[in-house]
Amino acid sequence: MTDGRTAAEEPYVLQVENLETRFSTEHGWLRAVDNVSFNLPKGKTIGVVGESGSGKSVLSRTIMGLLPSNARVNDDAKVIFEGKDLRQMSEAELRHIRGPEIAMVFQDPMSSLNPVMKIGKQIAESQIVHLGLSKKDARNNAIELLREVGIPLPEKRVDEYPHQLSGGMRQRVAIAIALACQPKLLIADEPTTALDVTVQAEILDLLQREQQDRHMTMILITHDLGVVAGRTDYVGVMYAGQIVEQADTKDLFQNMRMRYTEALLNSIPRLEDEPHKRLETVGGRPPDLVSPPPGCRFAPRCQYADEKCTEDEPPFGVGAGLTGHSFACWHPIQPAGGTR
Amino acid sequence: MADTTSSGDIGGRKRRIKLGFGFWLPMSWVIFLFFCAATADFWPLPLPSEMHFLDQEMTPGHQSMAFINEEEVEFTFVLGTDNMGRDILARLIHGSRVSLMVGLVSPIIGLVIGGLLGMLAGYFRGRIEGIVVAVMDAVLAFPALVLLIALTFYLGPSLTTVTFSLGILTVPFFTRVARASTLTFAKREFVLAARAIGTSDFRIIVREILPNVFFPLLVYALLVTAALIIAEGVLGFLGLSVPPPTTSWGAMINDGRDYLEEAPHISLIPAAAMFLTVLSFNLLGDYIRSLGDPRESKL
Amino acid sequence: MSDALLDIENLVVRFGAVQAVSDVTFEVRKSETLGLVGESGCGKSSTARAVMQLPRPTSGEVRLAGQNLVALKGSDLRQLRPKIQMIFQDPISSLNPRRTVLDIVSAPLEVVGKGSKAERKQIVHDMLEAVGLDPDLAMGRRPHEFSGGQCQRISIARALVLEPEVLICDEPVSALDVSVQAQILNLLQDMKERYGLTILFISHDLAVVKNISDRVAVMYLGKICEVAPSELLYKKPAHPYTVALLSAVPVPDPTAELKKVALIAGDLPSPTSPPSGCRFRTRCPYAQAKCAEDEPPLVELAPNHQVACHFPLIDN
Repeated sequence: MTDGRTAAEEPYVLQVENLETRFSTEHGWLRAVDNVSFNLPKGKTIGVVGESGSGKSVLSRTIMGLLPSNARVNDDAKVIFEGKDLRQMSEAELRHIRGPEIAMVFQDPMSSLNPVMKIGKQIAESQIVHLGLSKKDARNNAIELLREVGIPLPEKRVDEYPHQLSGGMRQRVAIAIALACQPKLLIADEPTTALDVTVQAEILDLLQREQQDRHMTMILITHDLGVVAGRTDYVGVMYAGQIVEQADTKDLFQNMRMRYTEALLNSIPRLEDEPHKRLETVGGRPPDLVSPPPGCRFAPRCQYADEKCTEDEPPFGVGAGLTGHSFACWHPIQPAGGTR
Repeated sequence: MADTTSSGDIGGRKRRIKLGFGFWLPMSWVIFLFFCAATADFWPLPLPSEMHFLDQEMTPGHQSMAFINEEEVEFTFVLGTDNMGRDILARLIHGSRVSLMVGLVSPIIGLVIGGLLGMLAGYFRGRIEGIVVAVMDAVLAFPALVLLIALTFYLGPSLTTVTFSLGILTVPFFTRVARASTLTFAKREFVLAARAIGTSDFRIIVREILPNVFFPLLVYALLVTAALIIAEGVLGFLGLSVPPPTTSWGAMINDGRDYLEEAPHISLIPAAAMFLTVLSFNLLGDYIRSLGDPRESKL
Repeated sequence: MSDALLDIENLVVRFGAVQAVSDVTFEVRKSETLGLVGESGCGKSSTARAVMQLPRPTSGEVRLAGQNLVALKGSDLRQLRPKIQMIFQDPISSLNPRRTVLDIVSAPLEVVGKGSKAERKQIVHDMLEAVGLDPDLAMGRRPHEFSGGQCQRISIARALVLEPEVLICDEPVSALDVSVQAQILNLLQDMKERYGLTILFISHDLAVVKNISDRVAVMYLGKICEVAPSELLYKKPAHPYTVALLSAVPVPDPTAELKKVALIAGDLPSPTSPPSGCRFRTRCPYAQAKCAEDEPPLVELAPNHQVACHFPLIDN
């Protein structure tokens, strides 16, 4: 896919094609990620939104190659990072990518940090391994990183253990660890879900600032549409392992097409709503990923579904009259109808 | 579309517990042992204590005359004879009674007493826990062998004594497992919900805690069974188990101790039987543990 | 005051060195939903448990229809328990994995000794239907066969089967997906109307609280900062912490401006040694000397609007 271009010239930092991840369970193969494709331009943030079971976390782990032993990815899947296909790489080669090139921040900082290792050492570790820094230099860098992520008195705190810090602080440390080797791509998997709302805003601000200062590309995975609204350039909405709608963030919210996206948005209570507003709900449950229903996977729960929806799977493609806005729906929201 | 009903679809497949090879293989040995123990008197074999002075230390397959059901007939000593000419197969079958008795009844003593104490300690915490833990620590600290000798002395050597003594020794272990398990479940919100209704502590322990604690205790009991069979074997070896003429596998091993060079089968055969039995209980315990709680994990 | 069904006065809950709830006073009026909102460590869950006497608070009074629950002896308290029930955050942990749904929901009836076995089964049947589950499919199954949302419905059924007057909801939707959350919130609203409930709703999510509550109380580090009707709290927040909380809530509208959260960056103070005077002062952009000396009492700023602040933001 390189056509003789160097990494610096690639317009896309990440290109995912036909990605399919299955898990072997006692009931059969569970298709957690089903035929996902997207391109991520350099320096941008893509939000991946979905509820539990949508496959968003599995997607990020598949990109990183961090899947458990009962997982299988299809052979014709491509994960092209700066022109190189990660799927073709050996584990040893991938280990050199993780850290210096692609880094990840996880949801729960208490379990993503080693409880018996000082935080300074955890930040320094990857610098020593990947960048070959001396212990002293790595430690000084760690202190600077702690300062950068907003931890006061970093010279003192660098020798503390995770349990001595609050949840928000720990997540800052996790971000420092991720940034330590100056990665090109940062994947943040529900980085603020476990945090209080005031801390959440601070952490998201921090991530945004770091991304801009370091010219990084970021994938922000969350279940919260509010989080993606203000902080992403593009959004992909996932449902039952598939991307069902994908667009520029503004376009997605203003020209929503997919019924699921609409239902998701309408079921969130908003501060501006009057009290006791009846929330719109999406009845039923997400489909069984071992044997998903035929046709559109959202059809069983969709008020607008008809026979066609339960028989044929709608194709995922750019909508009429839209640029860069793809979705998969037989009866999408019509712009003239004006649902919002 | 009814926006408050959860449209009928109660998911999760009902797990049908399929007992596979890993269960039936050890289980069939255990069942066979039970069968032997129950029918020991009806096998067409000489009495286990009957000595055949002409046929001492004979290897398996030896043929001679023997009294079977009070008739002297041609007989093949399938597993040979021991140093006193006793039929090893007959002794093995009769000895299985002791092993099974100890292996199954003793853990029950431990499970009931230890389980109860552990649940009380884990649920009430505070002083009750302190006392229970202290007493259990004391029992654990006491040298087991000394305790056994003392109990045997006072109660007289018999199958009941052995079963009871070994049972008592397992109580601290069951207490520990029960307490740890209870601590986990007592913290859960369904216990809080039960208290919120005003459910009595007794009822909570019986209806909420016990059904959850029972499974880990059962798994542990099977592993304890295996350990106790060995323990009885050791006691028999030391002559502290059931007195003769009752047969026990441990005593059989001891009998063959001096003949390991010329007639090793006297010790090895009961040892093999013990090995198979202990292995079976261990495998059963592990297998049942792996069946465990079917908690669905969301991807 | 006279229409207060639940009256909490000077509630203190202490766990060893930590005072989770420090002298909290508020009321829940009959047939209203009072939202109790705050971030982790503010003491809202501890308040809920103390109201339920599970365990009893360190000091203070909890009056249910005039009767002080804290002072009641064991058997008297047990008699009143059916009147005030609770649902919890973790739907899976709230249900005994080894018992069937029928057992779980009929347990309260058994404990109270209501009806015969057949009658109880019928009550459970109707209750399950009311919460939106198919009774015939659900009764014989165990919790692990249900989704999080359905488990929460079962919990609600269990809580309502004795027809309590007060329902305390401790973060009941925090562990659920957004689409399911809406279902449960609507369900609670329906149940409230159907059974004439008075609800104390605890959550860290301001938008959720605002949606379901009539009045909202904001807590910080064991104290109440502000109490006001939902709409008023949103439109005219008087306490700086409330303002900060409101500005931090992410809005699902890309054109909306990202508000700057009006908080001094920093850690939440340790609950073992809270700041002197006003507890919020270390993170308050408007703190002054007085805030470190005197603790601001909860006073009525306007009818039905109470604030605990020396310099409430009156015009914004």
